[in-house]
Amino acid sequence: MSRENAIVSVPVLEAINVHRTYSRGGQSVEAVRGVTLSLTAGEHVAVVGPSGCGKSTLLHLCGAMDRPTRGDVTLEGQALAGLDDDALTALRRRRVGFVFQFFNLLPTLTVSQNIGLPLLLEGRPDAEVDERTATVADRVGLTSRLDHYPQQLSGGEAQRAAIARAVIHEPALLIADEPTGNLDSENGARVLELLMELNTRSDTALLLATHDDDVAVRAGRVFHMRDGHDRDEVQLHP
Amino acid sequence: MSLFRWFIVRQAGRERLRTASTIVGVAVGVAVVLAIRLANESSVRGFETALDAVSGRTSLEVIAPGVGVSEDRLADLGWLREYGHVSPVIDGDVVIRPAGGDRTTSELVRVLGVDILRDQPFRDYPLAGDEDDDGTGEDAARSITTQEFLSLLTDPQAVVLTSAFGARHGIQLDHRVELVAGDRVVPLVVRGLLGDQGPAQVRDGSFALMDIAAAQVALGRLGSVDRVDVRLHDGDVVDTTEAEIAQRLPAGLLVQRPTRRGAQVEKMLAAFHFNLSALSYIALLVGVFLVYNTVSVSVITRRSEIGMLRTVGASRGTVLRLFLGEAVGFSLIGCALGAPLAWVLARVAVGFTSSTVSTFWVAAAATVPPLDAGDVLFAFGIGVPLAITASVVPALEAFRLTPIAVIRGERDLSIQERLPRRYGLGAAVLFVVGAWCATQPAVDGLPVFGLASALAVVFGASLLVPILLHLVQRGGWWTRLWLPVEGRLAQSNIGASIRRVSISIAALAVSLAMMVAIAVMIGSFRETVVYWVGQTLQADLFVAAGRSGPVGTRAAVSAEVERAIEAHPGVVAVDGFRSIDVPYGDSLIIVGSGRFGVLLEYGNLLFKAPADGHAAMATAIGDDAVLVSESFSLRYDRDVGDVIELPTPNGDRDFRIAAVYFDYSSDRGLVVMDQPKFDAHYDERRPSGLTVYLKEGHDPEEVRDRLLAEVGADRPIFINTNASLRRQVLEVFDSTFAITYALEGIAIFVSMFGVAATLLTLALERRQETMVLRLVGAERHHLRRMIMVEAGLLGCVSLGIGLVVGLALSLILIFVINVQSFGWTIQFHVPFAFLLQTSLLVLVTSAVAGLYPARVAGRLTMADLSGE
Repeated sequence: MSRENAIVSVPVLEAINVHRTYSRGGQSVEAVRGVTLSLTAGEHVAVVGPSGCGKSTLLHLCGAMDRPTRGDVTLEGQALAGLDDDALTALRRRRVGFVFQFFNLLPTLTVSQNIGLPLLLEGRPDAEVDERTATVADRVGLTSRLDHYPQQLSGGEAQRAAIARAVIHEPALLIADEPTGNLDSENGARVLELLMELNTRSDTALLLATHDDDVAVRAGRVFHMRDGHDRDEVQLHP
Repeated sequence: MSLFRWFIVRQAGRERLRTASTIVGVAVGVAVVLAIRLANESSVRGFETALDAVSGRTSLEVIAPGVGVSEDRLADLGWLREYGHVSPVIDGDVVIRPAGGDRTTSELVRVLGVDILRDQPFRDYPLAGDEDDDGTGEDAARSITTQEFLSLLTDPQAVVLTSAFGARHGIQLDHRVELVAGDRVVPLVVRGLLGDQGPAQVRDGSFALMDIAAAQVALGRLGSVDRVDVRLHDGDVVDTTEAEIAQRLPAGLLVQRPTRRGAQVEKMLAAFHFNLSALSYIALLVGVFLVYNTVSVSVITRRSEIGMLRTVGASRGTVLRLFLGEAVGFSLIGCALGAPLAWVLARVAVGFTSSTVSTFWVAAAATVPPLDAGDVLFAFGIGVPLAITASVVPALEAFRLTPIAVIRGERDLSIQERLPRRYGLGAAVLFVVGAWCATQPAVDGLPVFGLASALAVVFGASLLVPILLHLVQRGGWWTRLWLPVEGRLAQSNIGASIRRVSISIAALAVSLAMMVAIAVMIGSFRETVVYWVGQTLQADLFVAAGRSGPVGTRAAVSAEVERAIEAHPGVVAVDGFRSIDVPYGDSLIIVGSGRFGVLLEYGNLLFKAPADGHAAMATAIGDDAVLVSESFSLRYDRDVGDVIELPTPNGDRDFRIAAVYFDYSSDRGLVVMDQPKFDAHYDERRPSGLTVYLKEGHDPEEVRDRLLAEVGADRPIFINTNASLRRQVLEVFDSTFAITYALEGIAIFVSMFGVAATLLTLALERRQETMVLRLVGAERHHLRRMIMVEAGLLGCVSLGIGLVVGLALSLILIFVINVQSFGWTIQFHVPFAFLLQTSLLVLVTSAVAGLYPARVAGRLTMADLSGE
């Protein structure tokens, strides 16, 4: 997608002046303070900052996992503020994909079942689920591991399975929270390549939080956070 | 101790439901066992208390087996005075009611007729004070002189009652009352009221004292006394004196200690109590399962904390002690709550069992005594060791954990990966042991091996649970047809939690198996009784005196009443049944008589042996031959053609067994002889009940009403038609088994609670997985349904095992335990309707047991789950 097209199209994600305050032990803690962020289709944005700066909270807000205390989050033009829990869940199921540092695969399901879960929850027929699972597993190189359980996979394989699950329903937004943080450098690089390939080939917007500068520099834009603020934003690859 | 408080107590406080369910499980288990023990003791103690109260200071008693000691023989027993004081006694049960009062009252009163001059050394009869002397508001008892008593009882119509009985029925001094003995009504006047001491304590004050001569008249026992009490000189050794007296007594008279009657009653009730106790231990077993489950879940869910403790220096022994301590803590609280609960349950159980005991064995007012230290110790003595035993396996699992294994997050997936063969092998071994035990004979009349067989089957079935859960995880495709996503997730969850849920499911399955087994046994028994009643109750009318009901008081029906009935134009034949208790071995059997000619022509006994029982019965007429019930035959190992020796007033006599017949009215063993033979051996006695056969075309209801109008107007007789007696028999049957269902209901309730607690624990433990599900788009209803399906699947497994194992257990109950305990043949019958209802109830309840955990899982928000 060209830069001109991206500018004129509706943003996939738009977060405007977003705040998120938690109450802990009777004290309120403001994890995110007035952050504004926007992603268009096919864009790759890295969120960087020290531990506890609010990266994960911001990702949860952007991924319809949580609601802001103040401010607006819009996903593909739909404001999340007016949606109830079930509507948010359905939105996540159809339009958002998640990848986490600790993979978060269900230990009770096989790799194949883990990957196909979003489609199963959507009520798609078994045949379609099986076909799509096979295709995605092939893309991430897990065809031979489909009948294994997550505990039987290596870290890199588990993360690739998590990525496959995150993209099987062709989401508009893929959120990755420290996706390489629990992997060795070789597997980390492979996972990052995979995410970027999916980002460019399927026009999925990728919002990725990381500590790793080597990972961050591969993004189109880098969004720096400190103490819940958006400190600055750097355009790396226009 | 601090570590225990921080690590175990705090966690128990956080997981309130699981903690509560475990404590309730132990408390209910202990309470049920202790309650049945208290109830069993109460019925025997009720009889023994009455025995002690009435026996007073009696050392020995002389009796004629089954019948009274004739006055002719009393004259020859003067030598008894060489050994001490001697007092002849009339002792019986009657109904006493206010004159002109409620005629339907049926409270049995123990009446004692004594010669007051001779009786003073034996018993004290303090009268209740006429006035409230001490201002306490209570009647003060005062001693009374012999002279005063003589004046009280000189009137042959005088009776002394108790103040407690008087208060219950509004009876005061000088009131007129009616004594009902059989179909005789004797007017009496209350000349005194006894305080709550001595014999007056019998059956909550249902006691009456009369002069011996007046009692003989009132009870229709002229010419004999029931026994002769002997109080030995101080210093005499009872054993040697008893032997000496026995030597000198003429044939037909026996000497025994009063306590022997208590021992006989205990023996009679032994099988009933043994089976009830065994049943109560099932509830305890469920409690033990829950302790195992709780400690097991505690260890599994706290692996990382255990690893952390080990990392910072806690020894294996410390970890072991922590988890054993958890079980001890639960059991201590459970036992402390269980003991008082037991007392409450015991009162309920006594309500259930005392009517059964009174109906079938012995009239006794059973009251539950207050808990004593022994009872409390018993509660702790069974609860704590069992809880420790139950927690050993999971505590050892914690003991074996290494810090590195925990830090690496190693999980035991062995069960998920392969079928646990060792469980199958263990189950097979236990089933073989169970089958072997089922073929072994009773031990001292108790079905010890039968129960061991049942226990082996129960434990074998428990070992099948993980195997079945494994199959559910692999199979269960049908749930996917119904709920594709939730079914698949539920199946996977079960596969991953086999070790955790197995024990809860085993507890539920065992409870259900026992419920099924008992339902099949009772259903079979009921069907057998219905058939037996249908075949043997051929008479049109059944006449009883004194009290109504299928089992009467053995009070006599007078000759006048019998003649009046025989004279009715609709009556074609009348049979009379009488029975007496006769010592046999170390127990009491029932020796009865009937008119064999009438029975052969109109009745229809069901014979077990020989094939032509009727012909064999015919040969018994005019001969020293008897029919014996199946329970007698099995209990004493006697069969057709054998000769048995029965004590009679004329000494021991031999009787040939002509036939064995089916009888379900008593498990004590019945020996029946033709009436003329009975009269010859045991003296002529009036029958306690009549069976009346009508000519064709006569309506039993009409005849009954006419007979009652003609004969029953001034005589307390009860006439049942065939239909109403059958109905009453089944009512007695159903009330007898009510406690059985109640005990099983408790066990099932407790185990359901355990399943719910386990599901909740699993739901909370799977928060991380729930978060992932929610992330990838699972809505709340998906989670709710997933847990409900999981609960339903677990219910199905429990039910499947419960039904199959229950049927196997029912075979053991019917063909081993029941035969060895009571000597009854029961035809196998499956109560399909009841089992269907129970199955549906269990499935619905197990799904409902998942409701709360499902709600909890559904309530988790993304904010909860994201850990912020």
